[in-house]
Amino acid sequence: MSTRTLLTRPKRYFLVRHYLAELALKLRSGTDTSLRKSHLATSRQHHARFLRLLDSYNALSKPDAALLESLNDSPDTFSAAGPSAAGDPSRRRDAKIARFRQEKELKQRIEALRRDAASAERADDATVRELHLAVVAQAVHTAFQSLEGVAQELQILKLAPPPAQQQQQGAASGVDARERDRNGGVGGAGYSERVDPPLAQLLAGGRAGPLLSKDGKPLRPFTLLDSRQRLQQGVFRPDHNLPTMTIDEYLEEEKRRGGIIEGGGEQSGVKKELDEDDEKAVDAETLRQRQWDEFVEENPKGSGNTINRG
Amino acid sequence: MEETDQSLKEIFLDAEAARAELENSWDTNTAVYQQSLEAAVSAYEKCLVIIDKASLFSSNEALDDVSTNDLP
Repeated sequence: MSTRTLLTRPKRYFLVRHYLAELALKLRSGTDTSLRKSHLATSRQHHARFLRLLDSYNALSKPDAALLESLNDSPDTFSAAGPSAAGDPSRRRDAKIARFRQEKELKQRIEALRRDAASAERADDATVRELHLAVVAQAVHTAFQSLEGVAQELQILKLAPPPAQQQQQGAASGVDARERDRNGGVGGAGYSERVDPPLAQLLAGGRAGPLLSKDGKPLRPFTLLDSRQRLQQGVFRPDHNLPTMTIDEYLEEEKRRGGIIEGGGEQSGVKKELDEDDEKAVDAETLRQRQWDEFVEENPKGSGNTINRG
Repeated sequence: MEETDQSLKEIFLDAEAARAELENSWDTNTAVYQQSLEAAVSAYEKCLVIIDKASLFSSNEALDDVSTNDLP
């Protein structure tokens, strides 16, 4: 050890693993969940070793060291708020707030220190040291948060359904053996031992897939219907009844039916002239008038259906 | 040891430069971004290898023992 310190000036690149952990999360994985999972695992490993290294240098605070232990105990349920706060959302929130405040203070301290270190001609050794330590402390914060995020994402990926088709151009780890059997050999053209059609087809209820094979042989039972045409025609129609005739045509029709009265014409002006010599006509007319008078007497004005108002 | 020290420093600085480039770009899906990403990752990994070979870290040390110049 002593010869080394004489000959060399070793620099401890503590943050290398931290950067590797963060960069691993940025790697592109597209829709390939297994690739994403491996990136997440790599990131977690790097961060774990980063933190362990700092711990071996006694650089972690006591709570942080305890947090690291909880990571080792159960990495999949890791939370930056601590293991006891895992199920308690209010404690988690408080822990998050405290952590956020710590981070803010750290960030401000780092900025201040950077300014001091840059401004002084020969930066104070203590200042520079503080700056480096503060940067490391910030990295520790980020590390724990990343680890929590990684644990959560892995949980979600575990619950995600396996992708229906992994069409990767050579980048994927090859088609799963089960998928191969399911598809029946190379690209689905081969033999499959399954008797039933796949679940998706069963659920479609006989509506899925082609009707006829390439030769024209029917692949599924089907019926010839015409109601489909009618249904189809019923789709694109105006939503109200369109007019079928013009107004003039309508009036003509009404006239034909006798619905149009032409009042004030000849017939309303003409009165029948009573021949006074014709006894029967005169008597009939007198009788008629008497009957009318009697009717008027019996039905005084205002005695009709007053609808409860009179 | 001196050579590894020097080359380690260079590789580390390359990695840091690549990483700074990544921090400044906003579009993470471009091929350029992914290339810089992979460059940074491989540079850092090379650093790890050198650090491991040079046994820069020792389990007997504490952070207080490390001098300021040796910290970063």
